[in-house]
Amino acid sequence: MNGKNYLSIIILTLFYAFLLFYRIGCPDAPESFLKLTASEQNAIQLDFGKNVRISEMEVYLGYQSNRTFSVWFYEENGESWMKLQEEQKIKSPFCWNSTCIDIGKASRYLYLASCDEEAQIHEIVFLDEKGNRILPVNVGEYPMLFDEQELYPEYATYYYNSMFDEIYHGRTAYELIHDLPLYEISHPPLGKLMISLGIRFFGMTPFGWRFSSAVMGILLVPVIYCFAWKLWHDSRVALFCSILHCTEFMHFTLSRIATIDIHIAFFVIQMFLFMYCFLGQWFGTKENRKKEFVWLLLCGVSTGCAIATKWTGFYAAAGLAVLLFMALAYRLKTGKWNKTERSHCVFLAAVCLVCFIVIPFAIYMGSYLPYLSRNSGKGLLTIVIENAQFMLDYHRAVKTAHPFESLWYEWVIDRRPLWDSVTRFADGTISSISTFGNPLILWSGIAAVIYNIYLFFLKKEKRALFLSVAYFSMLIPWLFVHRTVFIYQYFICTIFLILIIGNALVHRRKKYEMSFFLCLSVLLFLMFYPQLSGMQVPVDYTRHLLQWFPTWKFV
Amino acid sequence: MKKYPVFRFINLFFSILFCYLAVRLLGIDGNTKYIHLMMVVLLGGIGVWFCLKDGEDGVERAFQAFVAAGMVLHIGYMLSTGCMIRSHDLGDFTISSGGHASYLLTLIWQGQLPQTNEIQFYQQPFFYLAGSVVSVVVNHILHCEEAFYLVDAAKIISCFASCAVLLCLKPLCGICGVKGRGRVIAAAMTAFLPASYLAGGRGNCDALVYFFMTVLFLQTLRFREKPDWNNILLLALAYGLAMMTKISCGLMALFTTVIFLYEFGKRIRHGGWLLLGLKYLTFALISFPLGLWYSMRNYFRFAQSLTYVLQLTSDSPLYRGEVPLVQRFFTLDTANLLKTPYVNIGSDYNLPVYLLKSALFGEFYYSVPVMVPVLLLLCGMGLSVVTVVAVYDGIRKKKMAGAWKYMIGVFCLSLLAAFYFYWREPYSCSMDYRYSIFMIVPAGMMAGRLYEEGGNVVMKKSISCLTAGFVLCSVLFCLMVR
Repeated sequence: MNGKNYLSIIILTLFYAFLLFYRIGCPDAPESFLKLTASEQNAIQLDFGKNVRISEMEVYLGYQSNRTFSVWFYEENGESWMKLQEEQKIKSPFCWNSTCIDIGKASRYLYLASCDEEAQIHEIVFLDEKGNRILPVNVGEYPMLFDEQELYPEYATYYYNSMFDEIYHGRTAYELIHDLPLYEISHPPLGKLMISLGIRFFGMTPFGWRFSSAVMGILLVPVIYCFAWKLWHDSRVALFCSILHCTEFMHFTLSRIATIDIHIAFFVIQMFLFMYCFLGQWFGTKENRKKEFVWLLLCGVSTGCAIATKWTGFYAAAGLAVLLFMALAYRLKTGKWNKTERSHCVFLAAVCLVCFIVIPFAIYMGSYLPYLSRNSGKGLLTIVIENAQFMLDYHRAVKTAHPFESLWYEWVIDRRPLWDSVTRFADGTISSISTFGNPLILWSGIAAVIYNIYLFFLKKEKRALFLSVAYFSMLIPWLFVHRTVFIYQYFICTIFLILIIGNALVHRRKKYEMSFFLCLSVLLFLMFYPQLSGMQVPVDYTRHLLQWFPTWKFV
Repeated sequence: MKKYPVFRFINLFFSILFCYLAVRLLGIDGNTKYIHLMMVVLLGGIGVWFCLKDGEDGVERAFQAFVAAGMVLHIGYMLSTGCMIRSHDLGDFTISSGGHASYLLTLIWQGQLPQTNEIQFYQQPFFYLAGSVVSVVVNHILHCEEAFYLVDAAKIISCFASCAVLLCLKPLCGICGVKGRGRVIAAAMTAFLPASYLAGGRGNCDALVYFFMTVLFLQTLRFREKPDWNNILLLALAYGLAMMTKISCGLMALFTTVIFLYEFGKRIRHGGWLLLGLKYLTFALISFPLGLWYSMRNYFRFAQSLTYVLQLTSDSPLYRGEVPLVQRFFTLDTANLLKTPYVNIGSDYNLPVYLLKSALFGEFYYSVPVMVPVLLLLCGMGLSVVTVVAVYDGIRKKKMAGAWKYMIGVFCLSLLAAFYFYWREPYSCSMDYRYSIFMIVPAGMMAGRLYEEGGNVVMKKSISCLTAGFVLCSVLFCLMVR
């Protein structure tokens, strides 16, 4: 790679960073909080100074979800407290939750009590029937609840609220920082630890909890460039693959949400990149053999990080194993086996053992260190094994129907996007976010995969073999998984699809095809940008131009 | 280039008239058993005639055989199907119902055009005028005054129109450079398209519009080849009558205008533009009054706009305005395609699938063994793909010289018109192929030309197999429909 390559990487990465960070999330959110308990002494009694008719109560809930509150109003005529018939369920953590508490008449006093043992409230906003804010006169008694009133948004979009699985991963990242009992333990901890880094720097705000995902998404861009460069040693093709990757829908959306899929994608791509580098070195010149160990080591570290983020890292590890053994078989068949070669291979085997067993194990175990303080009396290995058992049981049992679940064959054809967030505005506009693939990449990817297989079987093209193994290793295991799954599980496959498309177009050798394909992909990305970013647009735009199929529900 | 003999059209008309009279006199009108039997005999006879080619040009005989067989299907279907079966907006057989039957009966019984523009009375009058004349003659011969038969006889015009398109195929293929077996492909696709004979058996103007669009296309190309007075006068007359049948025939004016402008531009460079201008003026002086007099009448009487169509509301169960535009126009509703070969006017919304299905089966259900419509649909899909490939091939290989560009242009124009109409009137009934039947003419010719010039043995075999399957299934379908 020369200066031109580095310049391309830097410019593209910076541009994409700007795109990713633009309105990724509000840098401010109510952070001070009050903890309520079920005790009567700990309830809140508010005085509004005069009779006011309160219509809605907006609660920014803390890290615990599904909290129940009882609300009482003071009846002046009867001089008694009147309880609101229904208890108010506040569901989503780190979200503005709206609840109607209109009793049809005005009252001066309000009493709020938690029905749960513990409930953390960051802020409360009261609204009258016209939507005007009403502030109690005795806010001084509860400063934590009324000190960030200006942060209440007119419309609680994705920008201000947590969405989809952020209520689990973002919340657990918060719990990791504050030494609280952990909620989300159905995946290994590394991903959540990385999310917590962003929260440490920027606070428990939408920007803070999404920061780490954005960084991972941005870092993937130069990684893809380097991978493509390694594959073809062609700047044009490397740039094509990188830009195509930037226009991939899922990459964009998953980089702007605090879940762990972008993290594991980052590590898995590195796994295969380093494996490719190793194989290239192993089959290349015999100079500088030390580099082989470096690649193996990096591959092992990536493997460990991947598995410590999500167990789908095992799928990638299996793919690496297939590639390694295929390479070994090829060497056995075609290589000259003198004494030096044999001893080098034995040494490599030992290195592989360390890199792919010992190091990943160490990383995996290390990721559980924060769990020690929450499981006093238990050893680290016990904690890891118990959590592994829990994860296994959990993932076997998750079969609850979900309106946006989809199976592996539906991912391949981009049939059912996952709807992350929607807010409808009074002026007929909408802010909606969905996770799904760029249809151009996914659909042409099907043809490219078939062509890739043809390239391997008929032309013995090794790149085609490598990419095919990588792609299928991340897809085939899902054929045997019968739990509730979603299209974002296909995200890593789409990255390999991009490289496979690159390989197909390289072989076709038609200059205009790459440019045309790229232009089309960029156009599609721009067209769907509102649906990927949550940008506010007229409903008709989304309904008529973006909802291509009945299964694509965006409004 | 010889002009198509007008006597063939006269013969055709009288043949259909004779068949209709014969069937009515024999009392077997609507009796599918006897009529289908006659059709089988005739088709068999055509087959035998073809086999006895005895050294003559087999391709030419095949072409003639397909055209003749197609006519047998059209006429047979018309005779075996009463006007109220698979009709559109026919209404009751009274003057006041406002349907097509009412329009005809108003002309026959009252001897005047409708005095309102309600329901179907807003329609242009040519079909009804021609139909009422034929009906009066036929029913006078048969001494019949029943309202049903008065309306039913108007189908003769529809049947004649749909069969007359087949007579235009030969000069069209000649002028568009469709040669050899390609002509047979074009003839097969056009003659055996079910939408064509379904329209031929209906008491409305669909088939006549189809015929006039074909004539306008042909006559414009003939004018392009030889811009003499004969051709301009014929073209003007055709436009006038076409617009007097339905204003939407004016769609072809876009194509004709391009040709006119091109010719005018040539004349400016090489001289003679004044004479050509005069011809254009004559064209306008004939076609506009002839085509638009009824629209003017209705405009002054009822404030009816030129492009007026009967309006439904968004409460209608046919309303599809809420369905995303992309789903309506640009995607293929494969789930629907695989579910049933017939359209469901109450729920379908996807234009490509609706066009394909209604091109074969209209908006109706049929009690025929399901394999036949399914196979017919598959062949139809295959031939649609062939058409798309032909368009792509014509553009890609820069074969825009000669008539390729005309065929592609007119085909795309028809398709865009279908898109525009459904966009403007977002109701499922707007998607019906009966408004776009003419599309099969350029499609068939492009498929035929692709067959001849594609050069690929696999492609030729595929097109042949698809066409053969299409023909066979269409015949079976026509014979099985009750």
